[in-house]
Amino acid sequence: MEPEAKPQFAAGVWVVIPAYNEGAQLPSVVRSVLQHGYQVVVVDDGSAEEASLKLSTANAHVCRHLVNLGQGAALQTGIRYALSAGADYIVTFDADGQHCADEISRVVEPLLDDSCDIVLGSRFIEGGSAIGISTSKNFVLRCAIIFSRLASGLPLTDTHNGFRAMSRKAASAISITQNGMAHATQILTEISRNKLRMKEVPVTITYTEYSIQKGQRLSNAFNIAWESVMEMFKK
Amino acid sequence: MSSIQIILILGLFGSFLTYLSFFRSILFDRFAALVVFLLLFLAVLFPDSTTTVANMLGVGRGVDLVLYLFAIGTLFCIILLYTQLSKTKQVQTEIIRSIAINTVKKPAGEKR
Repeated sequence: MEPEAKPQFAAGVWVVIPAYNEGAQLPSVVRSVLQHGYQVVVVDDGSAEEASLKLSTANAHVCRHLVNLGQGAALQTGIRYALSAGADYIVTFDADGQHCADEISRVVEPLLDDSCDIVLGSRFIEGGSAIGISTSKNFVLRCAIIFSRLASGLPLTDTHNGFRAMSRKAASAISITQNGMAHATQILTEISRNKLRMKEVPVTITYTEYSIQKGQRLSNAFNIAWESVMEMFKK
Repeated sequence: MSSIQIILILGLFGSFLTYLSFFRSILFDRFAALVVFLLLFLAVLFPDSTTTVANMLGVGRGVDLVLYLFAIGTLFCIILLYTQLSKTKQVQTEIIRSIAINTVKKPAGEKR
């Protein structure tokens, strides 16, 4: 069964999916992305044996970290691999089914006419939505957005949203050294440091029981802020 | 503010700045180790000298002075270890990344 027409630019789009002990969801997430004709790199971030076996059956490129390093490190690995494989555009995508593969074309589109270098998905911008978001998560995210604005100086409406697209140029310029979750703030500071042209587009984030259980604990927000502040001092 | 407070505060700042700037060299490390060794050596030979120095700095007892310096020194070492550890982590990340990229499993039918 062929779904909707594959976009013309699809072959040059590499979708990086970091995965750590992802179970049932991942194969269907990978399949939904492949259906559109995109290339998929799954970065297995040192998952336990059973989980990585499941990955090997998926029809995607699979890079495996021998030990668990964190999502930031996994993204950087996937981005570097995609660049070496000749990607024109790189999309970062969550493994837990929160993102919608149909929206990848929307996120990539602003890059096509070279009007910007990096596109960030936003669930809070007009047209975007966060289905099933809890009040507490919403509150912490709002605080995190303020923090990210201060840290990066960018006019953001969302943060720590794993749905992004970047041009080859942006992907080469951005260097993620924050192995953990603070990479999301680091990507923003890298955008301002490299003076990349940034745009936000609306995306839909669907919180399911599975994704909530797999996702970030709210209490981790403090750790992320701490790591981000320490990173600023290092320079 | 007494002299010891100034010294301790300077020590704290020193530790922190070292962490921030990663300013280190083997020569400096060895020199510092030698100085610490000599000071400890002298303190053992002439125990009362610590009290003399302590009094000059505004601390009552020599033991207290040694304790304060020990605290600062320990903090300093911990920070150095921490920076060393994060450097090692970076190297480890690069190695694991290289292995991951070089041993990539490609989709069936694709060769390169």
